[in-house]
Amino acid sequence: MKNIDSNGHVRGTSVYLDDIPVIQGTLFGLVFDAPMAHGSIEAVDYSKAEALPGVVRIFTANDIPGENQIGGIVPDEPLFAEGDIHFQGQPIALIVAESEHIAAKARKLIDIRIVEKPVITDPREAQAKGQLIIPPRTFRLGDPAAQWAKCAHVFEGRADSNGQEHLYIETQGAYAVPMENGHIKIHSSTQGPTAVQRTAARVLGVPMHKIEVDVTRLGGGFGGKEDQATPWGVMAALAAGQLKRPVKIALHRLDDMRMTGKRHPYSSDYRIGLSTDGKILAYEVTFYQNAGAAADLSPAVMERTLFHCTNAYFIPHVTATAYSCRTNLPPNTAFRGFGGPQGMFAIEAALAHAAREMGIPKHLLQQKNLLTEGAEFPYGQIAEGVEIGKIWQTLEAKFSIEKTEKAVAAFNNANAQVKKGLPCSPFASAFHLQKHL
Amino acid sequence: MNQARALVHIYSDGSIGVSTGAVEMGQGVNTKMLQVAARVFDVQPQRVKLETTNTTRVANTSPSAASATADLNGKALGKACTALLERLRTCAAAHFQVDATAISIRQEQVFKNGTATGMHWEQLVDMAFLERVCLTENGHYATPVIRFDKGIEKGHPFAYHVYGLALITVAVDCIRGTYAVESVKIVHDFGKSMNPIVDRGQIEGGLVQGIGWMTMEEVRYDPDGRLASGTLSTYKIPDIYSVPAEVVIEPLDTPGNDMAIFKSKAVGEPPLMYGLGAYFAIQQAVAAFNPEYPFRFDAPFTPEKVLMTLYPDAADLEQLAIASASLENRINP
Repeated sequence: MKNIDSNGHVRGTSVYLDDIPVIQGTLFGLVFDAPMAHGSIEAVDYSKAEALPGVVRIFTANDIPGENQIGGIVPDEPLFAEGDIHFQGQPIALIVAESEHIAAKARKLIDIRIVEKPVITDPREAQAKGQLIIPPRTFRLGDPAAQWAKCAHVFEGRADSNGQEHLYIETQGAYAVPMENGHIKIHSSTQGPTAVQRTAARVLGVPMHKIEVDVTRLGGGFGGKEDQATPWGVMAALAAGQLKRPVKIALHRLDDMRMTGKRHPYSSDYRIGLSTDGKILAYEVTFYQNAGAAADLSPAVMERTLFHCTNAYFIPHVTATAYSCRTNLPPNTAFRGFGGPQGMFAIEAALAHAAREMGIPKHLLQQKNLLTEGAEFPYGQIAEGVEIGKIWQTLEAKFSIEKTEKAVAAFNNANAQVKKGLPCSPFASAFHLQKHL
Repeated sequence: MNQARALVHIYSDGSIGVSTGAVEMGQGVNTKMLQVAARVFDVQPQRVKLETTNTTRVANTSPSAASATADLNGKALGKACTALLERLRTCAAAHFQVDATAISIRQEQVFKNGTATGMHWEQLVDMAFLERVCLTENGHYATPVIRFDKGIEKGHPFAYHVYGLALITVAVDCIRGTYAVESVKIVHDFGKSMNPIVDRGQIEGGLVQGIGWMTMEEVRYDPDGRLASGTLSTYKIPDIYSVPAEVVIEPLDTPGNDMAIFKSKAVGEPPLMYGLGAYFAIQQAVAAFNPEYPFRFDAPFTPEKVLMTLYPDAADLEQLAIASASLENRINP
């Protein structure tokens, strides 16, 4: 069956947040954010911005009737910065005006004085200074320390993977409409309607039943709207509730890219030990997760990295430790794979390293160590319904890794300036665990 | 978490309204929800309408995340539809004076002991409404089995696993440092896909997003924490030209897993992992050109990094500029 939205998408009739007909009297919100990554706010002068015709009001932390807190797992993230700023792009105030254009003009008229503080962007530096979001966690299976002496080959190295911008086509946004009796309806571009509802209730100091959240569809999310769609919905509700007028916030692309977190960059140290015939005997890995300035979903992402640290392989002796490191970047967040890919990159790097040093194709090492039925994952679960062996056979039968490899080698021998590379990318990915929130 | 709810109304004209906690974000979850309702009732898909995701209709939702949205909400929806179907069968059984087990509904027709009764879905619904049968139902689903003890970091945290394997061929232009993913051959564990078109879309999109993460997408912050890649001119994502020329997706022949909705396994996140292969493929190609290249693992492997790795000495780069000019029109990977 075709996607039921295909007609609407192709004809442009599908309704996204910005397509909702605007109610008369609607105001537009624009976020004023921290111009630098770390410091304390000495003074902010809003007077010139407030005096601009068409500016209705500027909301700051002082205007919050409930709690100035949006942290889901750990309460460590204010809606509007108070006192200190911890990342460039951190919201400080919401300018509400008769048009977006006026709000943008007003933003340029705000004077802010900040005393700068030292900035940390590297997770290893943060870890060394004790800047952790939560205490480190370690998954263990067997005893790697006792194995190294028995290994014919031991390789150590470092694997870094960078962040990733979600770049959903529809930027973050929300449209809040005041209803009767203090009820507020929020149209939100969120993956988590309940998170928006719960957080709006907390910040506005009202019961959850006063807040209704409605979502038609998103123009992409990729995890970027799981937790980080919340602040805009809450800000719009705050302003709509106090001004008794509908308030819409739709982030400009540049504001979105600057203010929101991304996939977590990871820096990892690995140590892998193998037998002469290429069986992995032991694996040690330490993950330094760059969490950014607040917890957001980082603890759950970090856990997911540990779950996937051995990818689709069985390794009898494993120690995997992860640090969630607090830095002065926007809080990094969920992104398709949720920490899993970062864990897999480290083991794949270790295998590539081993294959190179041992002078054998990586795919032979991969195949030799594939997960089998009844094997134990480092987190204690016994593997059932394992399909990776059958998948490998199917791929070999249909596409022949060996033949392709030979063709690539022949091509590389014949061509001096264009070179080909051929790797296999197996995975085991696990489902149904959402512990966060 | 690990729970979902759905609210189903059968209107008196036989049309159906479905609300779940699932958020449609292009991944096609609403299409899958519609399929669940249409399949359980065995009615035409056009009878089913997916409503917006609204906290007053479905409360305390789990976020649409972790690739579990279709599983959780689909199972909840299936339960609600099954309960309504039972009610309709009971109503029909009373009308035909048989046991409810003798009644079935197939392609909008009511059958008694396997024989068509001539009663249509719309007549059945209308009769049930007049008989004052409740035509609204709420379904709740919580994933069974899963548990995890953080104290010892052991447990059974996952309902099932999804497996996959990709064979990726990359060609690197060793004059320019640019590269192209030529071909990706995938064998993927869909379980029993309930929507091969939608699922294929997820594989293709996930693959390309994974390749982007490993190759061209480079988030950069200055040492003072300012985003240096904060525009679409400084942050490049894959476009149609950087999509692999060939993507072959072979579904694994497998019985599937009952923990997944209709044995159709989660498909949102897993294919991103295929993209990891792009990094290692480029690395192999670089090593074929420069055997001295010490393997480094520092994704993304941008064309700039590839070029510096191919020619570690600046002197070589000058030679390269000369060679590049003379070979301008001859290299086309």
